[in-house]
Amino acid sequence: MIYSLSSIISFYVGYQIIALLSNKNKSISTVDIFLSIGLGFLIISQTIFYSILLFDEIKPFYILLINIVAVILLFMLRIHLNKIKIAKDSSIYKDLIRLTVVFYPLIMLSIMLALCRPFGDWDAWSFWNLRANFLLRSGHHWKNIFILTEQSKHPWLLSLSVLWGWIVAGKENNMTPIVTSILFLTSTIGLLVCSLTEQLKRNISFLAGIFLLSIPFFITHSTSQYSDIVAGYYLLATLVLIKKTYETKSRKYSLLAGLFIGALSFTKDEGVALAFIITVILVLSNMNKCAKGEKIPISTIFFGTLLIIPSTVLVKFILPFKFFGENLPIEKSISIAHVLDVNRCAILGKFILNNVILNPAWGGFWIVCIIAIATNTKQINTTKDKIFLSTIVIFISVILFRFLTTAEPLIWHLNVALNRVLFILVPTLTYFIFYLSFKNKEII
Amino acid sequence: MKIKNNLENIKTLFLTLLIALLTCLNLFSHIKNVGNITNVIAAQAKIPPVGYAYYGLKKYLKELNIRQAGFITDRISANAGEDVVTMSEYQSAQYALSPTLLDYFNASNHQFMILKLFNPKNESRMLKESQAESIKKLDNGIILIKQKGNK
Repeated sequence: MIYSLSSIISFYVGYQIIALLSNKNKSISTVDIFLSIGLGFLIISQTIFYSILLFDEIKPFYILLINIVAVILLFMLRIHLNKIKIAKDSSIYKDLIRLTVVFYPLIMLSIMLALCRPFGDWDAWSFWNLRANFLLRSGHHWKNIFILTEQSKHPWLLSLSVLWGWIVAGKENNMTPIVTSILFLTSTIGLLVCSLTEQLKRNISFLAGIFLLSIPFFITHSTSQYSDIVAGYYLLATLVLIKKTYETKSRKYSLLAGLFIGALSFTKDEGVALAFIITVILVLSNMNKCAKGEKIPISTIFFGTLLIIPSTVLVKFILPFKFFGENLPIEKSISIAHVLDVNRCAILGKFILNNVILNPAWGGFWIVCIIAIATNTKQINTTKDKIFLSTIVIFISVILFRFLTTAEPLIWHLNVALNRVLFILVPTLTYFIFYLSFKNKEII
Repeated sequence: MKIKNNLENIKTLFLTLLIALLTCLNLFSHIKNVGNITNVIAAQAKIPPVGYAYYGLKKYLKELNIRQAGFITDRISANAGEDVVTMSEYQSAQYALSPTLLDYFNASNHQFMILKLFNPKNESRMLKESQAESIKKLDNGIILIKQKGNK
């Protein structure tokens, strides 16, 4: 219980904020419940980050105090403003029970897989959790984290979420990172199924969730305690919120979309790239107002993003200084000419075919994606659909370009990173292919 | 129009069946693995935490107020920075001994170093090469050493 307490507090913070943003006459939806988890972790990680800057060290007591006061204030504010709460006859409880019943076996399997690796895979303990452990133990010397490894410049959301768990539990432990990874996995599935249920028939939405959770690489990697599931969750949430913003023109969803774009940039470097891509796409699509009525409150989105971006900028560009390995003669320059190198392109193509598309660990996921998108191109006819597709296509293009121009040995780099990077897209792609293939279809 | 709708329906039905089939196959592979997973979980209980072998040095690093130390090993590899065995050892040590910073890349720049011996016979050679003396020796070939002279 103590290991879940931090997650419960995070959820409560997120839930209260979403309730405050909601209209009095509109009830909270099940999608909001799964967004609350991500929003809560985002807000608390930001609180911890700025408290480190303020006190120049980790002060567990003050961090706890700040967050408990925040919970109480949010609760009182919501009561004072008489904002909505879940009605007893709400379908949320039914939805949650259905989700629990259907996904219980697979979530249990994911818990078992997580327990198989209590320290997670290599990068989990040597990087994400090391940073949390270093921040907790280092006192005023916390900035030394930037001497330790160049990777400390990677955004901090996951490490700070783990740190939050340790602060609440009162000590470092293996269970907090496990609980965090399971929670993000569960939230991703919940968000996927519930947001699809708003558009499609329930059995199709549940099939999407089961299909995603059945993919061997997805369920294994989600429980490896890496940041990819966190980035995958925030990407799906961001695009679902942008879609909802287009559908409802609501300031609630546009502000949340902005906050989640910011959150995406605080998850990992690929998240920064995705946040940038989504922002550019939003600006361009808003400039192209030809389709009347498709205009969205874009300033609210940017306001939300700007609330979070400073933390990413601080971690990536302001705080870092020289790290131990920086004086090593490592070849870091990239050659644009590599993009035109036929051999490298052939290696990349072969790798994608054999190690991604036909890789049994992906359980046929990419084959389904290719078939679904190829056979439903005519269905991509609204701005929100185009935003989904262009985000996916541009991101894949960027990472392929990155691999083609890598200074590392190409095969080695592809082996260690490509599947992990593509993983971030998987929940969003699952949403997109199901939405595309089954919207306006009566057959199933 | 009717033919077009039928084609759409066939397409959707085909995709649904494909997804359902793949889901069943994937789930079946999970079911086959459940027994193995249970065994692995049971075995995990006996595995010590990451970097456990280095825990004995924590007290000395704290007593001597060592905030940064070098990390060296007797393992010879063409590209040590990418050698999985060396890196695993270094990163385990770093995880266990954090917040002391372990510098693998410029180990000799530090007065104190942690020496990991994969072969205990190399101890005297490594100490001589590093011009260092042993401060604390643990099991598993782990030694806290101090370079002679001012650093």
